[in-house]
Amino acid sequence: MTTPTSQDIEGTILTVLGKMNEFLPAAERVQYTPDTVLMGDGGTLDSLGIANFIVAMEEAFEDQHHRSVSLSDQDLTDLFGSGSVTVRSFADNLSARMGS
Amino acid sequence: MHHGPTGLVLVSDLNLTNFANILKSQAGPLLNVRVAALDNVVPVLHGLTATDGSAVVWTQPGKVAAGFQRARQFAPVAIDEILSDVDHFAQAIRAAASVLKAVYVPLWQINPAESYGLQEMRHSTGVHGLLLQMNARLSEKLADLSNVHLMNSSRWMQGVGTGAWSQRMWYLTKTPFSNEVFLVAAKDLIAHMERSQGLAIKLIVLDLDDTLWGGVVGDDGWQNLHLGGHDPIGESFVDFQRTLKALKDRGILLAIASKNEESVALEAMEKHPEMILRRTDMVAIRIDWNDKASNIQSIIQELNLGARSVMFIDDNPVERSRVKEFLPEVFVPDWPENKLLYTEKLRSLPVFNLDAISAEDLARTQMYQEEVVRERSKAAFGEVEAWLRSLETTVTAARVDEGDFARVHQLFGKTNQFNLSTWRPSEKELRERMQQPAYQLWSFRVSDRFGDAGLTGVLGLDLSDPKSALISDLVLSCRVMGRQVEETLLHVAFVMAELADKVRIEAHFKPTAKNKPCLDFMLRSGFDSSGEGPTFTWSMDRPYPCPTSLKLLMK
Repeated sequence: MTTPTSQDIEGTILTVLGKMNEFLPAAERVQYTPDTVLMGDGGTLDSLGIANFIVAMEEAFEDQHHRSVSLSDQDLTDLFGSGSVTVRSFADNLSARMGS
Repeated sequence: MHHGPTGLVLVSDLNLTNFANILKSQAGPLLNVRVAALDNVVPVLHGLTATDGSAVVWTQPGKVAAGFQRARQFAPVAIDEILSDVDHFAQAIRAAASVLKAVYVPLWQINPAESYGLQEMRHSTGVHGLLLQMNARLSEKLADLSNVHLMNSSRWMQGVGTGAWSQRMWYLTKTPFSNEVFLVAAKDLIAHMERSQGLAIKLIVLDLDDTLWGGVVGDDGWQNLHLGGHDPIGESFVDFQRTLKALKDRGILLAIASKNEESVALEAMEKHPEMILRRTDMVAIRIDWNDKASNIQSIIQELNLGARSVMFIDDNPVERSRVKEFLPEVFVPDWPENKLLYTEKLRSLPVFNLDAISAEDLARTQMYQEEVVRERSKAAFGEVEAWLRSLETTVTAARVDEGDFARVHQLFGKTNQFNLSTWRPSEKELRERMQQPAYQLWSFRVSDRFGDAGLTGVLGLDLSDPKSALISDLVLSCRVMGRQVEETLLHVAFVMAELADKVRIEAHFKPTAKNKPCLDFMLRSGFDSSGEGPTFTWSMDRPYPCPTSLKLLMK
């Protein structure tokens, strides 16, 4: 089983965010790009949005990459730092952790 | 002008914020969704007011009945204690229902994967057995309230499948379901609310070949059609026809639009021994080689229905596409290629309002058939007045009593085209208005030599102003429009205003996307119109006559 690359994970994140958008009123939807800030300073996700994102990411990882990734049992600040976390930095960080 | 958004408050011991967002995304700005304070279900229910609109009350069984939660931990429980908690909860729902338009209550569920061994279905001790009893008790305690709707939440779970229950969502967001469940629930709820507001399907137009029976009757002959017998396809078509017949018996109209030789197709309908639907079940028939979309349009015009209340079923995707393009408001569902799936597809469509049933519902096909004969007789008369006189119409006006209440309430809820204010009252709101001393609510029954159209008109009069009689409600079924029943309603308003010594009659028109026929009538009614809306006025210094083409009986 190969470890998904940062680009693979970035694609998964954007797919997940697109799916989450479908569940939001039109006025609250966000056009996500690799540079969109997810959380931290200027983040687009509120606390419920982060929870939805974590659940959707864990499920999408199992579906798309046949890998189990555990985000819900960890403090995201420990994982990604306390500053702004973008789609790209999230993917880079997660890829690095999975490869290590 | 448009109507304000419909209020909907979500009352729960779950986190329903995701559900609220999904409801908003599905319904748009027409639904004003509010999430009540979490976990205070009973006090919240007692604190709701009419301004909240309607409510969804979605709770967990273990939060409503502590004994049920103990049963899940294998502790001994007393069934009476659990049912007493259910009764207490039902009382709170009753309190909310007394002030709200509607209360929607998803039935209690627990994850079916929770296994408690062979004892789990046992009547008074097994966890799943207890849950069945709780739901049955809740249903029993709320059965007499017509504005409380228990919702079959197990269908939502089954629609999503194995991903319906989510431990991840529970621990992170305090909801045990995936967002996909909320999406299915939101669609179901919105469809239900739309249906109760008059947006239900009233007419199904059907193709024949490979839709109502298997095969092509023109090629195969009616004796060789797949219909009934020891044949899976034939059996499935009989079941499909039975389902359509049941809908027809519930007040949904059926019609045929088929490209065929008429005599050949009608012979099949009359002679095939396994046909469930016969010619007399159809309110209109168009069997020829003309464009189907044009034929459907002519049926809609003949029956005086709105296109949005019409559904078209055809196995042929080309015909479906043509109708969708030509009549975009007609509902044309995608239809399965596999004929064994027709009945399931029809039953799964959440487009029929099957909640309330009146004598008018049961006789609707016959009434519309009479209307078609009536309209065709019009052609024999050069002058409309002469035709109207020939109908020998009798209009019976009476103050609304308990016997008429359900039908009158139904007319308020379902009538779109001839509706002055499109007020959609709950039963309680309507009863409250009827109890106001200066308010009069009149019902109108219409019959003629072709048949009895039943209770088809409503007039609401507010006589509280010392000088002015206000027509607050003017509602008429499209079945009797254009027969001077409209003028008769205004005449009765005049009679009652005169008895009350008023100097004028007023009517404030509230436009919607659908009630232009009412506006058109008011503009030619002789009333003066002014302002936005507009407001219509009749000065009492001249009588508003009763049409001479019909006979009015006032009880």
